[in-house]
Amino acid sequence: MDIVLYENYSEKEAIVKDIQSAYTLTGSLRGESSIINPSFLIEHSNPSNYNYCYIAEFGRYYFISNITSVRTGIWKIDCSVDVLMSFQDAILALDVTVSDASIGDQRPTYMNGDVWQTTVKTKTDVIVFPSGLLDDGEYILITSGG
Amino acid sequence: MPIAPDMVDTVQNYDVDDLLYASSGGSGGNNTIRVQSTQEIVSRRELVHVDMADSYDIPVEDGYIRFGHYESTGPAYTTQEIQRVTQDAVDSNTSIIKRSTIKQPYNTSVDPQTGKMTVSGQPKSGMLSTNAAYFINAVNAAQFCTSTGVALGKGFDSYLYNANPDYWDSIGLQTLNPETWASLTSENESLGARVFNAIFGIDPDTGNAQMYMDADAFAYIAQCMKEAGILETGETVANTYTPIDDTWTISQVQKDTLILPVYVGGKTAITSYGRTSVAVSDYDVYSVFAKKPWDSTSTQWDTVAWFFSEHPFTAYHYNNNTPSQTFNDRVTQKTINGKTYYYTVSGSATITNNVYTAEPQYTEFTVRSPVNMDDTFIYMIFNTQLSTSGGVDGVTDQPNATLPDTSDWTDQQSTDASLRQQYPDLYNNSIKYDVPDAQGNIIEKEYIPVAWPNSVGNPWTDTQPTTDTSVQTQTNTMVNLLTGLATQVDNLTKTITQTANTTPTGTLPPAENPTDTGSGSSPVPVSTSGSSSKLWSVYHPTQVQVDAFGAWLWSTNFIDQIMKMFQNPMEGIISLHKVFATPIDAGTGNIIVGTLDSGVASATVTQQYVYVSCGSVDCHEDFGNVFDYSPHTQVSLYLPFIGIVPLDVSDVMRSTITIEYGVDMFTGACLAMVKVSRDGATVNMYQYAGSASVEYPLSNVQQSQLLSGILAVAAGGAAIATGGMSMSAGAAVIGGAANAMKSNVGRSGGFSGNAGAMGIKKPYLIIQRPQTKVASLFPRLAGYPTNISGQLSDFSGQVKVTDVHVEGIPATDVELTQIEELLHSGVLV
Repeated sequence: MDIVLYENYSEKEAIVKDIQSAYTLTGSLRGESSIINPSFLIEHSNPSNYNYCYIAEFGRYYFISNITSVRTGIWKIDCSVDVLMSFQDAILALDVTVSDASIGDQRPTYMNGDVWQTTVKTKTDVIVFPSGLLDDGEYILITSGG
Repeated sequence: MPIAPDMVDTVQNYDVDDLLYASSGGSGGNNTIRVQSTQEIVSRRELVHVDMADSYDIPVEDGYIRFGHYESTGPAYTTQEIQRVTQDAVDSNTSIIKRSTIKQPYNTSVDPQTGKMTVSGQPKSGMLSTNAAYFINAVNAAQFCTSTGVALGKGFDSYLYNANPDYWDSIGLQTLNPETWASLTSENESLGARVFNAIFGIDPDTGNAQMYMDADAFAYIAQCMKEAGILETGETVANTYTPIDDTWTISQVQKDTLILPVYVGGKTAITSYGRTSVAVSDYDVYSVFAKKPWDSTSTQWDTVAWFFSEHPFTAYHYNNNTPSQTFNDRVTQKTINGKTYYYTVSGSATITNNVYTAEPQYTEFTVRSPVNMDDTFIYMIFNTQLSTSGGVDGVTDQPNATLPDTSDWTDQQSTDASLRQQYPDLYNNSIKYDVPDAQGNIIEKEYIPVAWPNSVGNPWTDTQPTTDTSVQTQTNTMVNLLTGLATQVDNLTKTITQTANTTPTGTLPPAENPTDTGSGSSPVPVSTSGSSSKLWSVYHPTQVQVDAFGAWLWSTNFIDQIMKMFQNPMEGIISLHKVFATPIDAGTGNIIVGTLDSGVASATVTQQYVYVSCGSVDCHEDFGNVFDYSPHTQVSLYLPFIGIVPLDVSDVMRSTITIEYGVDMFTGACLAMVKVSRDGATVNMYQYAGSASVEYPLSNVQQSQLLSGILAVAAGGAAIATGGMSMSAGAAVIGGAANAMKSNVGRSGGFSGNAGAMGIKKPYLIIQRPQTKVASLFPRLAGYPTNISGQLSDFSGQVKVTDVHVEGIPATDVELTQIEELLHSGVLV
């Protein structure tokens, strides 16, 4: 089975990964392996630079979670499926309701959220109305009769 | 038909905005002319009687009517004396604030023998009614400009005056055609400006009043407005840009504050090779980028990125990941609309399947810009997400108004002809008079009905009138002086109600959000017409008069006589207090106690209720986001004689707040009415009662009662923290929306009456805002709080999903669960 090893420079949560330095080799699955968390043996001088791979037969991308030296030139690669990269097109086509987004249709900044942090201090603005009641009053005398 | 003198000359030397009216009855004798200000009539909704059958004692000398107008601190003058005030009296007595001289109104005649004036004559057409009277008043240019705008379907708010407090001086009234300007206006020495003539028609039977504007002035001002761009409607455009070549796609603007590589659609476009990055410090640099398929396979892309900021910045352009040269000179400075911006542009790069197969060498920057990175684009990016082009800030369009087509307005004649065609109702309801022109020839002049704009304080001097708290519109220009604006509001309310009743409710599809603006205004309170009666008399004495009355009160002669009538002499005195609003004097007379005449003259008061406008202030958003609202921002209001009261910030933010006090002269009770105007509606949102008077003890019993009252208020109204914890819905507890947990602190206790007299007499707004501490990277790392739906590919950057159906994906159950969990926790698109 062909396995393409990569150097992944993107974070795990990125749907589409920035993967480089593709190196294709042939390996064999080691014993019973799942397609979600496969392990396989490869022949390589030193695959420690690689942290990501693609297995065409499974149609999936994987994080390399561990690399173990079996013997000189033979390495065991433990992988876990990267569901985001593996199904990127279908995931990007999903209809979603978003609670937080770096960039959306517009930036509704009147929604509450944890990001709106303040210090314990406040500032005060005073706006005085243009006019008011009399500063000095006017006498009113009320008498009986008149 | 009486021939009116030249309208402009009529108001020469007319230095108050007085509207003549006649009242029958009242002290001072019948059929006397009394002077009131236009503002008082409009704001206090007093009845104006015009009794056409009566004639009036008005001293007329050489064709001029002269009268005085005194303030409350002046000596008592009878109405007759006021009318006969001479210039010498004005010069020697500062209490006479104004002395007015007006030429005999055009529609009056005076008997030379008796000096009696008779109001007569009618316009040639367009009368309010057969009994209506028409008087001339002077109006400043700002008022008439606002009235013109309202007639043309526009509204004006205070934003118009933010940049230029004397906005109406800048639209070219004096310079468009100086000759026309001179013929339409006259110089007013006291105001130091030229004024227009306005005609006020008043129907005594219905109380309807209508202001009319010279049709020539209307066309002239309209033409000036067109030249100033006021009649344009600002176009709101979304903050996007369409490239000239539509094979390029433009991303939305990103804002980053750190050194960063160029991003294309959220992916790192240039990493090891040929990287462009921008070094910034404490300010923001924005980036926008474009990409274009290199070929039909769309696996290779041409990209180019721009960086721009309101501050100068340094752009580092790397070659093979090594800073080879700082291309600081590539940062271009531009000034647009008085603001300066800086920008630079990267070279182009090529990416294939997110892997670079070709790396451009940045020895030479060739800008293969797919779009014009021009001034408009940068200005749009920087100012608002929704930018406008055209129009004037502070000028809005009235809903459902007929806006003018100004395309054929080349001069006054063509403008006038076009206005007559577009607004036929204005001219169908006009009034016409024969007046002499400058050469003395009789010409017919036409006056069209227009709205009265709202003014702060004296409309005569207010140069910043607005319409945002007015119920008058393009089609609703009449004011009713009997019920004030209530009739107009009622009509408007009924119209809105009818419209609402015909609109089906509950038919909005679930996904649709109704309009963000509210509607509807509260009714206008109608003042009660309380007055004194024969059971009691109300006086408005000065300090001197109070002292003189006190001396008489305790004279031997008084006590002997009053003891025959009362067991306790003080029973003759009902109350003596000071009110903090100007009473409306009915006339003058001696102070009478029981049936005893003290001989002390004093002004008399019959009008029980007085309304005082404190004006308006605007409550603006400061942050333009959640910080402007509860729980972060708190708003409270200081009201004289009431204290500091909390306001709901969501009620008053983005609004104009107007305060009006109603004061009962007889008891000192006051009602502060806080009106909030927003989204074209005005609501009497808050009302607080208090006492705007200071009671004076006239006996030891009364003093004890006064002290008890004061102590009770002080005990019950101490400023304490009530301990109430407020938390808005949705405010997080963990992670510190700490300001949500503020306690409510009372800032004042009971504040009325004697204590209130020592307080501040002007209301003021107190806005407490937070000092924010928003992490600069949160848009990229956490995203903006939002609640929008769409396809995930519509978004970019950090995205956290609340609702999703993970379907249509050929993955195992475990993988599907993992996908859903990752979407909920946040992914990078």
